[in-house]
Amino acid sequence: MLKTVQSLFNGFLGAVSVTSIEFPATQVPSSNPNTLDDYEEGTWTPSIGRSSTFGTYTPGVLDGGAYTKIGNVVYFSGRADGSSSGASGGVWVVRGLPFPTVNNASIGRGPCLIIENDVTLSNSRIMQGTNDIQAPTLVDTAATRYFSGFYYIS
Amino acid sequence: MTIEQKIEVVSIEISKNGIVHVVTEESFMVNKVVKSKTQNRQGFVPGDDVSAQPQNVQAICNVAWTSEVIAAYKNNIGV
Repeated sequence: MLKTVQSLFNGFLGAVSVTSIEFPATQVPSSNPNTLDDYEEGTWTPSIGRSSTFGTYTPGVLDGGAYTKIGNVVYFSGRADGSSSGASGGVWVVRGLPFPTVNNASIGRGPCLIIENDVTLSNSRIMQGTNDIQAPTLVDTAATRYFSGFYYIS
Repeated sequence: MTIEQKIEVVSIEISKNGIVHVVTEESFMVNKVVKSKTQNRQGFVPGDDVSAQPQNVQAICNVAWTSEVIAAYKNNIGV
C-alpha cells in the first residue's frame, strides 16, 4: 500500500518517501482549495520600530523567531528584547514576519499575543499587506518581549 | 574530521506591494556532508533602511522601492 501511495505521489511532488514529503523551495500555488501546495519551516528576524519612520533597532542577545508555513497559513513565535532609536510617526510595530500578510481588511488582520515585561499588551494585531505586528502600547526601551500568533498570506 | 559552516542568501523575494524578504540558508557540514540545514527569513518594507544588508539586497531594494511604491505602501497602512 505504501509503495502504491509513494508511486502516486512521485508523479506530482518529486522526492517522496514513506517518512516525508518534500515541497519545492518556491511554492507552486494551486487554485484547488483541497490541495496542500506548500510547507516550510525556519527562523525569522524580528525588529522593533515605528510604522512611519522605522528607525534603527539594536537587537537583544536572545532575539529570534521561528515559523511554520502550511499552505496559506503561517504560525510564528519570537522574541525581541532590544531597543529602538530614531523611530517616529505612526505606531510601534514588530517588523519582519516571515511572509507578507494578505492585503485584505477582512482576513489580513488578526490578533497577536505580545507579552512585554510580563504584561500582555492590549490591542496588538497583525496588519494587512505588511510584515508587521502593530503594538500601540509597546515601550521603546529594552524589555523582555515574547510574541506568537498566526496569519494568512495571499 | 572537518566541520564547516556555510551561510548564504538563497533567494530574495519581492511581494506585489514591495515587501522584500531575504532568505538565508545556514548549513553545517562534517567532512563535506551536510548534517543540518536551517533557513532564515528577514523582511523589509518599502522605505526601510537596508544599508547594513548585503550589496545585492540593497541593489534590489533600490530598484523596487521607487518613491511611488513607498508612497503606495505607506498609504495602504495609513501612515
